[in-house]
Amino acid sequence: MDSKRKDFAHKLIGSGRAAAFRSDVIESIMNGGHKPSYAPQLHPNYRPPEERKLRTGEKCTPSVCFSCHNTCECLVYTDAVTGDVLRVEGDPESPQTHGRLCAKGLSAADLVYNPERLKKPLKRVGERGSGEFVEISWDEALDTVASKMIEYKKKYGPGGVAMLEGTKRGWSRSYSRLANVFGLPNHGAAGWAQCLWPRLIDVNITFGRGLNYPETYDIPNADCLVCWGINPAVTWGGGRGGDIMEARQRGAALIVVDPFLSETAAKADIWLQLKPGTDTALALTMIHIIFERNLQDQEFLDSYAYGTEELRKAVEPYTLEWGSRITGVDEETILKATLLYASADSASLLRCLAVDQQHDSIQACRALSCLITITGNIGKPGSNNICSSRGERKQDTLDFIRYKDMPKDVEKLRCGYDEFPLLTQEFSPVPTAHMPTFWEQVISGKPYRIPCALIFGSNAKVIYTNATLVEEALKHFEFLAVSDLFLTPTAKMADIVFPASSWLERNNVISSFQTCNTCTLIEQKVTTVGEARDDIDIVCELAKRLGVADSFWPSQAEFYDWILEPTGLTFREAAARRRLYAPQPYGKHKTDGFKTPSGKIELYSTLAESKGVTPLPYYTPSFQGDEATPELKKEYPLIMSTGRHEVAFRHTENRQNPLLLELNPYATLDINPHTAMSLGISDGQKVLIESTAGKAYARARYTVGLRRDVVQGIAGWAGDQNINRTVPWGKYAEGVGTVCARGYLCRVSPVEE
Amino acid sequence: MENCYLIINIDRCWGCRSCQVACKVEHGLTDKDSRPMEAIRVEMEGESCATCEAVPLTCMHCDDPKCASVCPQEAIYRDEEGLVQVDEAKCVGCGLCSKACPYGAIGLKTVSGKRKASKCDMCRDRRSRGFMTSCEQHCTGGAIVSCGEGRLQEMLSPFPYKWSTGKTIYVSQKISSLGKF
Repeated sequence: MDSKRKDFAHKLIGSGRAAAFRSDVIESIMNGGHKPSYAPQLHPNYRPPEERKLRTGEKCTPSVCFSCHNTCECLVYTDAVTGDVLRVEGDPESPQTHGRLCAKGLSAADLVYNPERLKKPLKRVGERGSGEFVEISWDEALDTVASKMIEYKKKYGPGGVAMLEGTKRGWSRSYSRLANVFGLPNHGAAGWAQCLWPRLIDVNITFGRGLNYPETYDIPNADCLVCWGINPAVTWGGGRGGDIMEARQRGAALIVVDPFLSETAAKADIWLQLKPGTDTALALTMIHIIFERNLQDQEFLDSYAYGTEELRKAVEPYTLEWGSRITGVDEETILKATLLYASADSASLLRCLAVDQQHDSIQACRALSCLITITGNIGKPGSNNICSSRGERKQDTLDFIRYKDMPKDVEKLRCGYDEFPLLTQEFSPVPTAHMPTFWEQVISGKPYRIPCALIFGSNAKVIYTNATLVEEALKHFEFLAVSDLFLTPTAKMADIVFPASSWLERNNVISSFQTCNTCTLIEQKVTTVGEARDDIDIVCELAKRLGVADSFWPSQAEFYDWILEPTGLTFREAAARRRLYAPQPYGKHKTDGFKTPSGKIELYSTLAESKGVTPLPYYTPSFQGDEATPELKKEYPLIMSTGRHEVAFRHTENRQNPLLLELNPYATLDINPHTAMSLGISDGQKVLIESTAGKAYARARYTVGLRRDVVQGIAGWAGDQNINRTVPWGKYAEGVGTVCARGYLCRVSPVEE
Repeated sequence: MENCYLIINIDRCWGCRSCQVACKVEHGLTDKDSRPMEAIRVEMEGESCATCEAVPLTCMHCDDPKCASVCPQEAIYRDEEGLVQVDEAKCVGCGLCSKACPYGAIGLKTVSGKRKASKCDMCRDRRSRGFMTSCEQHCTGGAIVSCGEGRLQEMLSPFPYKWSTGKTIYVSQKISSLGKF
């Protein structure tokens, strides 16, 4: 069946392409004559709820899927009598998704019914890591963890107890609040310096705290969309991914920057296939071209930008010829993309994880913010923008996480405090430890020991870079508590495991800018699994036992009522409305300005400078590669990007779900067939990947969508399939300490089976 | 009842595979069962750079269904909307239909321990209750639309390139060689 399908698909598609396809789109945008109109359209076959009949015995509850941070509105179908979850579907009424939903959301019922789900708290009885546990009561589990936190803090000081987290299955910073109120400086996550924090630190220093211009888009009104290091077709499928396809269909141009011919790149009008690790070079080249040709929005810059002339001077060396040589993208394509972006009446640039995982993450983000700013794509219809408040209390503030509660002398104990000030100090969204430094200290015990840790919603053993060292470090804890849905490889290392609830078992108020420009979404609990509890409940219960209950809430129920209090609604009332709406504002900068020392967008960042970080974006080659380590390149001839995210998974999640494993049953290594054949590797064959840090196994997946000198791994697989074992440490991005996960060297060889 | 068609716009499919999972969930199929809907990635080495299209593959609901003609139980029939359907009460799960189908569109599933032919039924039950087909509702690219005979010409008119052997129609404004084999 499979080979028949593949043969037929190839025959159906053939090789003929209409030359005129979409040629008018680019032309009209570049001539400024393109005026796309947009009205959200219902699906052509949409019928209102009163014309839709449920199956007999079924009940339908609206909620919000939290299988990833795009958080799509959805409908959960349950058995009207037993309450069992039957399936999750998209919501045709949703203004956010119009009924679309991705594979993760559609198959989410597995979270509730998977036989491996944890239902009771566990206490370790065997050797650490043996997986031998006994079930205990919640009181015993919470009492044990709280008393250990108090005991270790007393014995080893505040640095001796760490609070680590991951996705946490929901967007709440109550866990960060607990770290600050209880006074634990070593709070951190596998993401953060590797995901989102470089972008948000850039926001905080370039535009002013919380002014998320580069993270917020106006897709419906944009003439031109630039997807930079993001593949929304699979990572934001139900929400913004679909919006991008709609925008493209009504005539917006799509530019994609990606080393791989991703699902999104496949639909691009211009695809810039750059070498991993050269994003900053490409952005700086584009800025150079725009200044050189006088295409900048000078009026906007004169009014709202600080450091225009300094930037102009700083990008002088980054000519088109130079940029093409460094990035590997031909001059014509770079020029065409730059002219298209710069001449569009309005353009939204979407940047994501790829820029966070560069060797120079903060400079890559800063360069992109400069690119957005010099073209004046700030705060107008169709451009990068900010959201309006929908009235509820915000969690993404230093006040919410009680940053000031932690005494300065305690904060300075934080791992990497002096070396990575943008990550560890006040310009960070959540000031946080530098994790490679942290893990090395867990092993070395110097300058002080860290024998106790909590890990909430993070499969640390798998998802950290340089995984071999982290696996070793996890053995060094004397006491470890983990909160998760399943007995993950990390949970197996724990002394106490809390069974956490999935999104189907909890309420949530989702107001993240990552979700929706115009709505705060209300997620509703639909079921209960064993004794599993909401992480926020667990945080509140720990707070009581740590003597800091007055800074928390009796439970998640009161927490959400408190979050919504300024709107005058209770959680129940908000849930009945489904969402809180506020239109995207335009031109807020004209009245509110920017929250930087100069009151302007700081192309020249005085705040970066104040922390000893280079104030103007500049290019440095990746830590390993042709430019930095030509000798090493002989031994490790291929450039690795561990960037790809499959639609089936979020980070390490979902690998217990049969319907999703069916999509991606094992770790794969994307490789160009020319390269593979020269190495004697056939499609689907097991391969060994080696780097200066370690080795991992995968199965080769042929693709002509990669350069011949680039391979692509997929993070999130455990054990010897864990590509993170090959990601080297030792050199980190300036100011924020990012590990380079895209653009280091490796070699690949076939494995006989 | 009027004939029912499934129009698949290749220009809008980017291969996210929502349709594939949506179909399995709607029909209660497991990972062990065959896939009535599957999105296939088709890559090509272009002159200046590589290109890629994606195609959701499903039953064509052929005008001349090979699956029906080989079925020894006469379990495959044409319904009142012109769609090719499997009568599970008659099906003995011999799999001859699967071998006969040129498109790999019909396979097998297990129902209460018994093997049965499994293919797209155009979400007959769902549509009878006022819902869209699950694949068209959940498609993130908006590539799939079902429609009746009355709207068919209007739906097809923007597309110079089309290919079909029955009720499923592939359309494109870009793929000029669509189905020329």
